[in-house]
Amino acid sequence: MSDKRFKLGFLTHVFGSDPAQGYRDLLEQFELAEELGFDGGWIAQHHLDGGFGLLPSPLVPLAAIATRTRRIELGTGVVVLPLEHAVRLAEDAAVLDTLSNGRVQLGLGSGGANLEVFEAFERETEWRQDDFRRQQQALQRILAGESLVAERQVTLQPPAADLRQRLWHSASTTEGAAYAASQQNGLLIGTATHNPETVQKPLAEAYLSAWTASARPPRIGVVRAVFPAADREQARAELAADINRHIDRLLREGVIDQPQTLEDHLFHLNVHYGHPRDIVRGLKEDPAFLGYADYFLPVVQSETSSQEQVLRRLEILATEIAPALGWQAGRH
Amino acid sequence: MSFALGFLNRVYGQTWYPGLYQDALELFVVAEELGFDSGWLAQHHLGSEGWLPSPLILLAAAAQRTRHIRLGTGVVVLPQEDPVRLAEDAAVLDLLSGGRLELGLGAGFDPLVAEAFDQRIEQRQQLFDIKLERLIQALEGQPLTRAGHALQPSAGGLRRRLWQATSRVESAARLGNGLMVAPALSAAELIGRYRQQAQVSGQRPRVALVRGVFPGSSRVAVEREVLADIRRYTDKHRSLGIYPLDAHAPVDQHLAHLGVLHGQPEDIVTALNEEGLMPNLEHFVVQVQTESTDLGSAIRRLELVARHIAPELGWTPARRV
Repeated sequence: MSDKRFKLGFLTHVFGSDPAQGYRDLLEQFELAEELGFDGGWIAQHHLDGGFGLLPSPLVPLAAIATRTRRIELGTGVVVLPLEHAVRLAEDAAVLDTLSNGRVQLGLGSGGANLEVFEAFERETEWRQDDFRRQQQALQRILAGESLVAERQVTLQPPAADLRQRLWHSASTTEGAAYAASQQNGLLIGTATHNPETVQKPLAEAYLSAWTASARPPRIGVVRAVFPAADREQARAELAADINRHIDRLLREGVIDQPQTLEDHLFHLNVHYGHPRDIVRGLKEDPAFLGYADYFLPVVQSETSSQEQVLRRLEILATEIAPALGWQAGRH
Repeated sequence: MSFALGFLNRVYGQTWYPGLYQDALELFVVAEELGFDSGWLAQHHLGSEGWLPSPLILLAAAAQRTRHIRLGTGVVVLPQEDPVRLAEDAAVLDLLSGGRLELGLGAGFDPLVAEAFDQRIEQRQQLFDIKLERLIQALEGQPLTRAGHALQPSAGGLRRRLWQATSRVESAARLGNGLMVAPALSAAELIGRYRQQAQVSGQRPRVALVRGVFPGSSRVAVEREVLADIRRYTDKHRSLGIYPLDAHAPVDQHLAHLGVLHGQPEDIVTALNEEGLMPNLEHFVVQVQTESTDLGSAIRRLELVARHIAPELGWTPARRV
């Protein structure tokens, strides 16, 4: 299991104080990542203000990125499916896939991090799991070219049947993970701060044991926060402001009673930080990483990371960390 | 007073092929070089006429290939959109393109498409009104949830760059939206009513006149290129009950009804001058493609428009090219 090959991507929430600058930075990150040999870049969707990231429409900048890159895969990590119309999402993804010569990887989620904005889209949070499955099954039928009108041939244009093979689910229960397998879709783990041993590993195992399709292998994408620096002290210093903001938010929301140390929080957030050597060791010991990951999706940007820091971290990932874990650029 | 010159691409094609979108991007590049002020993409769902369901996605790519040309939708079919999702996509595209988006909206016409979206075509005006109100709320930065969440990114000046393709011109004028006019025979009347209402409502009017413009070496030569396509188009619209002329009506009647201008550039200039709509027009948008027009022909027609037609009508490119 330990010599399993994985693709290297990166996942970004598009942080910053100025969206226009954030989007320009995003394009630059993809261009550098492609030069460094990254297999993919994945963008999260965050709706409305007051929340986490700055970008509600990942497919729009991915279309811009498609014209500035040639090879790198264009992922969503994830689209909040209950808030989408299945036909419109299929259309946008199909156009992007055509523009990019089939480079789209479409990650889908049920919106656990976006609950307070559901009402803006006239959706009920309590129905989100049902909505997810209904929409995801509709999306699959539409992509596969089924007619949308009874007794007529009214089908998705442009056609995108192959994109059906590039869907991923973000799951937080073993039932959800097994369901992703039953749909022959990929599984994304680590998208929320789940414990690798007690939560993520059981998700991966449930997914793998539910996989029955013999024609294609299962595929698991593992998201990890990775902040390489000269040493652990420098990495902590770079992260301190954002972690303290995070602690304030947890206290405010009643998730925790009292602040813990920075180290404790970084541990609970599954953050791998420090010298590349420390990070490689930590990832090798991570119980839900090597042996499971078909796609490694490090997050290298926290809320106040500078663009310079992000680009440097991407470079360290591609040149030092990922190769030490068995990744080879351009293998895929 | 000079008008702005645009082109509209409905992304037609006899069949869909993967290079269709690259061709559409190429037209933006060529048009910008020719000094066109704007390029507009139509939205068609599920292969109803045109092959592009996602104009904002393609415009995001066009934004990377161009620097100045304004990027329009002509039109997005609003009843089939979630207005908040549309506001999000439009606001992101506007930022990515340095504020170049012009957001044209319409109500749609195809009953099969409405059915595929679980709607009835008869509901389209009502759905349009409800969704336009919500879209404007979002673009204006008004709260969209009880807790006060608003659009992010904020939409800047995009609210002032909405357009409607509609015969309900008074409503568009009252909201301060631009008017996109295609039907030739009633164009003068629609524009007149729109301007009057805009004045009453204290809004600055913006009219974009959209015309099929097919310049070539002679009327007959152009007819050879486009008539079969136009006949297919009118047959389909007649079958949907939105085209009044009989199939056996003379060709010139069909072309006049559709507002199609064809022939040598000077014939087209003369026809537009005689029509008398050009003075005071804010925006003139040419459609130079029918279903079987290839990229080379489309480029040649855009060149003729930019070099031999629009300048004769008083257009001067904003940028020297």
